[in-house]
Amino acid sequence: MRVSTGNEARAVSQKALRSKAMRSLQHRVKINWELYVILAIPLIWLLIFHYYPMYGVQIAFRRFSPLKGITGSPWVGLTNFIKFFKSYNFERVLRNTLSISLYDLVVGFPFPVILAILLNNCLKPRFKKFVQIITYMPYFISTVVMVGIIIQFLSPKVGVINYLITALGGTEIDFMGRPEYFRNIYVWTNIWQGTGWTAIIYLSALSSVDPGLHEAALVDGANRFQRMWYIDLPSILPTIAIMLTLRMGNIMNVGFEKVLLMQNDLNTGASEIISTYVYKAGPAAAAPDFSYAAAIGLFNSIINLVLIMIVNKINAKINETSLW
Amino acid sequence: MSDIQTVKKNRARKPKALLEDKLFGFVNDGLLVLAALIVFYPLVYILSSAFSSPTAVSKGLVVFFPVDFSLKGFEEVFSHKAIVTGFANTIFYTVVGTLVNIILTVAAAYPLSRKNLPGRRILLFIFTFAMLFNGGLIPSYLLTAKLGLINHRAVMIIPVALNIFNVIICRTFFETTIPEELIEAAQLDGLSHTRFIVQIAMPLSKAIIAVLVLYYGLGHWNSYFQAFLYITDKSKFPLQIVLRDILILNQVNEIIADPLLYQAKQGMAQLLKYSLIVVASVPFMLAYPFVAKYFVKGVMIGAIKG
Amino acid sequence: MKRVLTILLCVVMVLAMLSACSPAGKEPAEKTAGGEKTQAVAPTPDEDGLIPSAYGGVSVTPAGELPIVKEPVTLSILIAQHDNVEDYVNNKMTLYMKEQTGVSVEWITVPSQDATQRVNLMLSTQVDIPDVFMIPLGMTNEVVSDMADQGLFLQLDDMIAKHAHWYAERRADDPLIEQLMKLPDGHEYSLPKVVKSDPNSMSRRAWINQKWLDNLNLKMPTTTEELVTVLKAFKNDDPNGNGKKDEIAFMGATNGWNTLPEEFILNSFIKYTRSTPYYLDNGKFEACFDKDAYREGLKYMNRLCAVEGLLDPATYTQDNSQLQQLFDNEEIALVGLAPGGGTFLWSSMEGERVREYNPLPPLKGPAGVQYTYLDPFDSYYINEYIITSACKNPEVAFRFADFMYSRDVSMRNRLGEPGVDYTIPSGGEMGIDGDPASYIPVLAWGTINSAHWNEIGPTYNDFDNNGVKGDDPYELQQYLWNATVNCYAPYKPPVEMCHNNKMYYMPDDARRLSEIDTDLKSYTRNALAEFVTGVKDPNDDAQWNAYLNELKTLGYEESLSIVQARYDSMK
Repeated sequence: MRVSTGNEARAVSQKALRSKAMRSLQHRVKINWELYVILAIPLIWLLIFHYYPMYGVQIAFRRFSPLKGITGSPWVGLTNFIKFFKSYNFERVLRNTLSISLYDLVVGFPFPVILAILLNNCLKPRFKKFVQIITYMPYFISTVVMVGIIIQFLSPKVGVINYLITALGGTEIDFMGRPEYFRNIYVWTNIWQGTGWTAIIYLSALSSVDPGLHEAALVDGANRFQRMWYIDLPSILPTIAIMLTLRMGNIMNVGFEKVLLMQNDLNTGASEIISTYVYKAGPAAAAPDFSYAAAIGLFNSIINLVLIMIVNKINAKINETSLW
Repeated sequence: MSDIQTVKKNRARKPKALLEDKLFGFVNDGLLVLAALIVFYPLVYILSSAFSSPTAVSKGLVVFFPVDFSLKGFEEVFSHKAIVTGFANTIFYTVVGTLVNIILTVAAAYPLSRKNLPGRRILLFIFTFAMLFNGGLIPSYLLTAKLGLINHRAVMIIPVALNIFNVIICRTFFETTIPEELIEAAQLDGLSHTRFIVQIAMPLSKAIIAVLVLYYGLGHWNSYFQAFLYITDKSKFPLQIVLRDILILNQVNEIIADPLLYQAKQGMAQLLKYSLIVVASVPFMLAYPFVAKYFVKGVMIGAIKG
Repeated sequence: MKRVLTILLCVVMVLAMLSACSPAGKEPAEKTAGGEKTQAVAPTPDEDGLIPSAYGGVSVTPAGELPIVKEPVTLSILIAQHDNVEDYVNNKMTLYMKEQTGVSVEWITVPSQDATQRVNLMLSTQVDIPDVFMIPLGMTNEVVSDMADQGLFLQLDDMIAKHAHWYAERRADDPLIEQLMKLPDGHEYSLPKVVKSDPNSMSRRAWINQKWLDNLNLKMPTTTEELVTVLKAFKNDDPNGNGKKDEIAFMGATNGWNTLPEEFILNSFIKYTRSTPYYLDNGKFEACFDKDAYREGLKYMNRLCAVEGLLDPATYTQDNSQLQQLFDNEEIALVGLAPGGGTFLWSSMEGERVREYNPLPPLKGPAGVQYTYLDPFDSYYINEYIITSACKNPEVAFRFADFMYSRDVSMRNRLGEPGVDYTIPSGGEMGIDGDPASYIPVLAWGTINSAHWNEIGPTYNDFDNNGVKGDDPYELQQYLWNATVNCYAPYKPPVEMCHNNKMYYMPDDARRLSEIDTDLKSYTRNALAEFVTGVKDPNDDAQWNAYLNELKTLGYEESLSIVQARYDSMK
């Protein structure tokens, strides 16, 4: 090997590194060309069906008139947004939306994970299948029927819950009539309905855990609990993290239809949320105001975006998993 | 020491581990029983109500078992001829739609799961951003019209060909379960990306494919809004539209003044709700066991070592 | 869905009422082709005997003649799928119309739920607009105003003048039609459906357990104070005689047909309507919910509910199905008084339970007010048939609708094929309403069929309660008719107090009203429920004033002024 002076050597090696990196980039693109082709199809779909219609976002900044079309309608800037912020109900609907959503997230998030782990640990295949099927069945119940059942079960005079309460000596409670109960009813019935179904994704992640790891742990004398704690849980942590981040990105989208059906004259203090309000003021209104609805929708999306970016950053630092 | 000897040696340590494990199993399964019970009662209520008589349901007599066993609810549901076309259409949309979904989702998720793909972060952001923002109903409606999809069966499949949430889940799965070493080994063997995906990655990903089949499948099965917006031909209505129409029709206790109509539907309103759920969900639930077997541990056996 | 569209089928006390309501009074009807207006401008047919189209479309035959066209024409009509109708294509009415008029129909169906949303979207994007919109419950006035303003919906004045025959007859008989159909610009853009039914117009009824009254030797209460006494006795004196204090004195539900108690009770204090709580006082619009009389009513209801525990608060949270379970309780009657359109809502008319109850006439309040709910405009659904600018043959579309106003087609639209789905009585049998009967139904209303269109579109139904009267007083239509005529009609409020809540407004006004209303409605209903159930106290001046201030913030006064302005402009 030829011996060169120190500086020369450094310069040469740095140049070599940079061009190596360059070549590496070109190289990586080249060897992965197939992946780009494969990705192209869904990407094109995305551009057509999601990005192209985004020009419609400007409806939020215009006063939409059907005959003039989107681009022909007059520009009103932030009027629709200000109207929303100043509206009679703004604080209340925003507060309700966030309150319900966060509660749903914090309380409801762990259950599917726990259920999936419990199922995964179960050694009796028939029993496991049975429980699995039972727990995801509620997900199939349509919202209309679900709310009907909720109202029936919680009814003061004829409902099961109050029957138990009075049998134990208490006085009947009109759950649906008290705003303070609304959030709990909504969230716990959500958990009841959705846990089994959401657990599926965690179950699939658990079933992909390398059994070799378990074998090795057995060899080292770990018991079932330890194996669950030190192998299963960490393995699905990326999945959990991603699911959590995605949930945060949905924070403003509280289940519209269910809340709408659960509303009554007495609980609107807690049950009027952004989406039900928009529905009444927008598409279902006597005089539909698409611009207003669009503005509120945009507001929601922005908040969702900000939250998802924050959580994703946190996630990236802690778990090294990230949405992008 | 050879493997067999190691195992034999460890066997000797078993008794202690066995007790802890038994306790663990006990607690674990106990919690599962509890979960099943909590979920169980309302389901039984629905099922029993569906098989009871209209008056029994209206009077709230059903507590646990069916009261006045009757198939009236189901008779009423199936007396609407539209149900048959509804089922046929939905099966079509579900099968074809899910197939399209899975192909596109994998096509998006797999490349995005490769950490060394240049531009990956930007592409991922493009996908995630689209999940959060959309232009709203009006431009989507106009676009669909422009593409000639209004009232066309394809409108139930193409505009909903991807759910970005599912793409992200799928990508995460690929990331964590298809390690780089496997790919590198395959590449050394001269395998192209495409062949790798088809021959190696897919068989290893049965669990996530199963999830996608379920999630997308149910999405199609329950799909209402897409058809509601875009289909005007009765013969193309999916099941959910037919079911909802039946339900609304029978919910004449809503503020629409038509005493005679109400009387004609007397009692059926309550019963129908339950019968409709059973009709709508049972077919799909029956499909689950076939998919569940992919959620079995150890799908990866042998893959890595090979 | 808790869709707040209170549409009632209503029968006005036809002629007397109409003449009182319409400012110009009325002449007896002339059943000739068209009224004076039409005859003045009837166009002369060309050499083919056809009248050319002003829109470049197909020529039509002169008014009143059938068929409408000499060459085959197809109309595309958008309807909301009604599940009672199995098939609109191979449908007796569709075929009859084709046979008689020469016009075929291409049906465009949307699912019935949320049809409004679908139609709004279609109109907003202007994609695939059909020739005709024929949506039951019509479109909202605001949408019609907007679309008329933009030229998407066609003006009908000319066509009414030149081509109407049966519609013209109806207009001559019923001047209220013209009054209702005109938009602020003075023109008409849609055709109405009229279904007259007295029991549906005075439908805020209440049903009291007569058996309990008898058991306790009590008389039917006639004043609000007497009601308190009776309800207390219901609650405490075990009127169902089973030794248990399980009686519920007074209970309603949120989503049954008029099952909320306020419309029955508050009309003993002020003329009250839940959907549009306004009334006319000498031509001036007033809101109910800021009046002292309203407050007195709330105090009374608060007394019934929060203080005395007679009105069960679950009324404001439970579905009609829970009320039904209690009312129709297997062993013994549990409910003393329930508000609603009829006891059929909770129990079969053929069963024993309904026979325990009698209709309760409106009570006299402490100030002597004793009204029943009445809306003379309720029979009129005003946006049932709209011809769009996409229609190539507007005159054909118009004549098609015109024919539907004939008695023959109107009856077919509801009853089906004469001789098969209904028969015409021959022997002078009496109808339910006391006039000679005009039909005997064979195909029961509500059965799945392909015989009619379930009474959608332009129709004039003045025969609804004129079916043959049977022997069973508990036959539903008869039962409701008798209850209405005997117990409620005598307490009708003066017609001058009744306002038309279906007025058309200019698009900007309409939008503003809609905005205010969304919040206003929600607030007033929430406040009422809270005042009645005791969450708030109507006796407390501070709370009441806070409520009034909140109303002001919501802009109800602005709302009233818009309505007043429009009303004044119509005079």
